[in-house]
Amino acid sequence: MNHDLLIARVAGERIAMAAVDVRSVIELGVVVPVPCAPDIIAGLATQRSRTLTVLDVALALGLPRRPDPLRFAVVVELDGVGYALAVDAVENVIPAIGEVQPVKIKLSPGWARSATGMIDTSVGTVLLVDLTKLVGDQMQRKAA
Amino acid sequence: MDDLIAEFIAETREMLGALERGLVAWERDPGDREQLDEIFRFVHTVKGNCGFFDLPRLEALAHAAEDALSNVRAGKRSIDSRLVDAVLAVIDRIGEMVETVAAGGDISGGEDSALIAMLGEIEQEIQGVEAAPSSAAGEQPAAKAPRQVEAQRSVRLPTSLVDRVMSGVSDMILVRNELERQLRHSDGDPALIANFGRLSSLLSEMQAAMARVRMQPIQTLLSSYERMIRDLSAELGKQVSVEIESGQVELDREMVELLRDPLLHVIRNAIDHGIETPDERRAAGKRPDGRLLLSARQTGNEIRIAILDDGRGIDADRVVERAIERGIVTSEQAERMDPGQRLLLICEPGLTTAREVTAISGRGVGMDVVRASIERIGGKLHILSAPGDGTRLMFDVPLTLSIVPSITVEVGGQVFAVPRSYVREIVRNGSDVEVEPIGGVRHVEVRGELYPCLGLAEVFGIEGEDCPDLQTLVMVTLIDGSVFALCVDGIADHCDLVIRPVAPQVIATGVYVGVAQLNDGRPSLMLDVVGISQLGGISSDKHSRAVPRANVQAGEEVGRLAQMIVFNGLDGIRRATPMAGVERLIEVAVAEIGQGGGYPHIVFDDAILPLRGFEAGAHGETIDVLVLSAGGARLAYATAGSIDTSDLDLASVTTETGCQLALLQGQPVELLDLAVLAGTAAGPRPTCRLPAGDSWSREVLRPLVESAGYQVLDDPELHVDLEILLEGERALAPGNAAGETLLIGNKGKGRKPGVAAIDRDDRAALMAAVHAASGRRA
Repeated sequence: MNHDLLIARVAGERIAMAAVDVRSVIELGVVVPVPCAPDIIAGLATQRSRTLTVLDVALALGLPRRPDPLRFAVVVELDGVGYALAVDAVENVIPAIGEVQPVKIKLSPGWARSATGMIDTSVGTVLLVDLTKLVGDQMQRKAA
Repeated sequence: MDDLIAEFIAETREMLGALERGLVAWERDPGDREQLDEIFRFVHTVKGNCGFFDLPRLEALAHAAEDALSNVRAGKRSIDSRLVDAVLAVIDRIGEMVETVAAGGDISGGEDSALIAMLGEIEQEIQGVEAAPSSAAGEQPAAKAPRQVEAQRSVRLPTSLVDRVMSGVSDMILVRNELERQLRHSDGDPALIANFGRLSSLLSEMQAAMARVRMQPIQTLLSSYERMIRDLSAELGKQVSVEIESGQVELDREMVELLRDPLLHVIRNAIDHGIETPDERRAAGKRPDGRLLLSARQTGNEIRIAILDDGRGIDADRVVERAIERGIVTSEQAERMDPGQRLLLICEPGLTTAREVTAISGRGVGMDVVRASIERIGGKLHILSAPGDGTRLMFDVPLTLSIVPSITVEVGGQVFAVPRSYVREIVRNGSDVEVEPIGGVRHVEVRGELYPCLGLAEVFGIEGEDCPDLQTLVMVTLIDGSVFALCVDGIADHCDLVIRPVAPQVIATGVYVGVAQLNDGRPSLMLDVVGISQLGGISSDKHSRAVPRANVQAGEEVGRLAQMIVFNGLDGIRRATPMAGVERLIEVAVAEIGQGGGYPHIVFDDAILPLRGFEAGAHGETIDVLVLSAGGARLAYATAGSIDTSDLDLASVTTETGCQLALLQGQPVELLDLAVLAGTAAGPRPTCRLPAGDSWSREVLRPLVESAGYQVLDDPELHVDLEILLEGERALAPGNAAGETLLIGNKGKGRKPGVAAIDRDDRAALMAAVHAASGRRA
C-alpha cells in the first residue's frame, strides 16, 4: 500500500489519514453552534456555498475538549454530506512507507475505535485513522 | 391515451436502457440474483402496462417471460443457457416492438409463438427439443416501421441532470447573494449595479422556471397504482373500488419518486390487511366492495397524501399489546401514549399484527421503512383508525425538497429559519400583546385567544434577550391546526432559502430539518417547528383527543373521527366540511365574483364553479374561498376566514335541528352538505312533482328544482318529497301525499287572501323556497 497520507495533530499526537479521502483542508472561520446537538458537533461552517458540519475530532476520540477555539479542519464527504473534522493542526502530506501494520500497542478506547493500523512515514510511525469510520461511528452511536 | 402511451414508451425505453448493462452481466453470470430481479421487474412492468393499452402481443411475451423467471426466482427452475437466450430474445423483441409503437407502427400482425414456446418449453422441461434461439429470433417482429423523427412534444431528462442544473442554480443564487452583499458595502459603479440587478432578476426567473421543471402532477403517480390494485384485489378475491382525488396538485419529481415505494406498500397493506373479503364485509354490514381512496391536497408548502380504506381497521390495543410483548415499549409508556402514537407503533421494526404473513405483505419492507422514507424527505406520517371502521394513513410531505420561503429569526446572536408556511403572524411582545404565566406555563393572549408560548432561547439553552418587551412572538400553526407562540429576540429577514441536507447527527436532534446559507454566507439551521414544540413540552389539547373505542354495543354506530376544515361563513356561522372534499383554498377578489345566471360564481382552473355561501355578500376586497369537490362535481364555498383544521367526532353530529350540526370543542358547527350544495345528492335524490301541463313549469320550474338536486317525477301515483302546486290546483290524494308542498301563485290573478303562495315571477323567492325545502330534507 503505497499512498499519500495527510498528517495532522490531535491532542498533541500525530495522526495519519488517507489523503484520497480528504477533499481539502480549511481554516475554520465562523463556526455556528448547533443547539441540542451532541458535543462532538462543534457547529456548522461554510466553504463557498457548501455547508459543512464541524466535528471535534478530539471529542470524537474521547479526549478532553481543547481550550482554544477550533482553527483547522480536514474536509471529508460521507453520504453526500460534507464534514469538517477539526484538528489542532495539519502538518503535511507525505507518502506512506511500507504497509499498514496492525496496531500492536494498547490504545485508549476512543483511539482504538477509529485507528485502523500503524504506518511508517518519514516523520516516524503514525496511527492511521479511518475518517469515514470516525464520522460513521458517531452517526451510529447517535442513531442507536 | 396518447400521453399514456408516450409515457409507457418512454418508461420502457428507460428501463431497457438501464437494463442493458444488467443483461450483459446476467448473461455472463445467470446466477446473479440482483440482475435477475431487475429483469423480472422489467418484464413485470411491461406486462402490467400492456394491459392498459391493448397490446396483446407485448403482454403475452412479457407474461411468458415473467412466468419463466418467477419459477427461477421461486427456485423451481435452475437457469440454463437456453433460458437465458430465450429471455434475452424476448427482451430484444419487446424493445423492437416498443420502437415500432413509438413510430406509430402496428405490431398486431406479428407472430411470437415460437419465442413463447421456447420459454414455455424450457419451463416444462421437455428435454431434447432444441429450439435454437436464432430461429425464434428470426421471426419477423411485425412490419418494423422505419424510425420516424417524432414530433418533439416533451423530453425526458435524467433526474440527476435536472438536479445538477437545479443545484447549479441554487449555488448561483448563493453567489449572487454574496455578491450583492459585497456590492452594498462598496460604492459601486451604477452601471455595474444595474447590470447586477439584471443578472439578479434573470437568476430569479431561472430559479422559478427550474422549480416548475421539477413539478409533476401527482395524478400520474396515484393513477399508476390502479393496475396493481386491480391485480392484487383479484388475486386476493377482494372487491376494491378505487377513487383518486388529486385535482391539480403538483409535486417535485424527486418527491414523486421517493413516494412511489412507500405508497405502494401502504396501498398493498390496505388491500391485503385492511379491506375484507366480500363475505366478511357483508357479514359486517358493509358494501361488498371495499373503498380505497387515494387523495392528494395541497396546503401551503405541504402536500397531504391520504390513503383511506373502509376495511377492518387497526386495533390500537392489539398493536400496543404486541409492542409490549416485543419489548418495544413498556406498559407504562404505552399508558401515556395518545391514540395516534399507539397506532404509529406499527411503524416500529419487527412489529406486525397481521395474523398471517401473506405473499403480498406482512414481510419484507415494513411500515418502519415507510415511515423512515417519509421522514427522510421531511414528511410526517399520521394514522387514524378504529377497528371495523377502516384506516386513514396520511403522508404530509413538503412540496419541494429545495427552496423554502422562510422567515429567519434571531436568538442570542444566532439566526434560525422557520418555514413561512408555518408562520401565521408575528406579534411584538409588550406593544401588541402581553405574555403572562398561567398555571406555570407562559401564555400569550392574541385577540382573545390564549396560546402557549415557547422561548426558543430556553429550549436551546442559550442566552437570549432577557427583556420581555423586546421579544418578538412568531405565531406558529402546526399541521393539526394548533397554534403556539415561538418567542425570539427578533425577526431577521423574510427570504427564500435553499435548504440543504444536514448531517444525520444534526437531524437526529429532532429540531432541525436542514440548513441554508444566508445572504451573508453564514449557515442557518431551519427549525422543525413540530420538534421544537415537542421539545418545549407543548402538548396541545387537540393532540390528546381520545380516539373513540369500539366499546359500544353491537349494532350501535361506532364513533368515527373525520378530519374537517372549520371556517366562518360570511353570515358569521361557524361551519365545517370534511377535509377530504377540500381541493384547494384560494383567495378571490370580490370584484371577480361573477353574478351572471342568477348564481354567484368564480372562475378557477379554467372552470366556472358556483360559489355557495355568498348570499350574505362580502365586505372586504378579497375573500377566502374553499374549492370543494363532491361526487365528481366541484363548487366553491365562500368563507370569512378563521380557517382551521380539526378532527370531528362524527358521533356528535345531530340532524335534529334540521341541518347537520356537530360539536367541536364545545361549540356547535354546521356541516356543509356537499351533496345538496353540488346538487348531486348521493343515494336516492329527493323527488319532486311539478304542476303538469304547464309550459312555465316545464321550462322554468323544472331546471330550477333540478339544479337544487331534485329528481322530477311525473307519475302522480308516486310519493314525492316535494310537491309544487299551482294555486287553484288540487293536491293529490293523501296516500300519495308529498313530504312538503309549495304553492305557486299568479300575480294579481285572483289570489286568495291568506294563502302563502309564492309569486311565480319572483324567481329569487322561488329558488330560496326550493333550496330551503331541500335543506330541511338534508
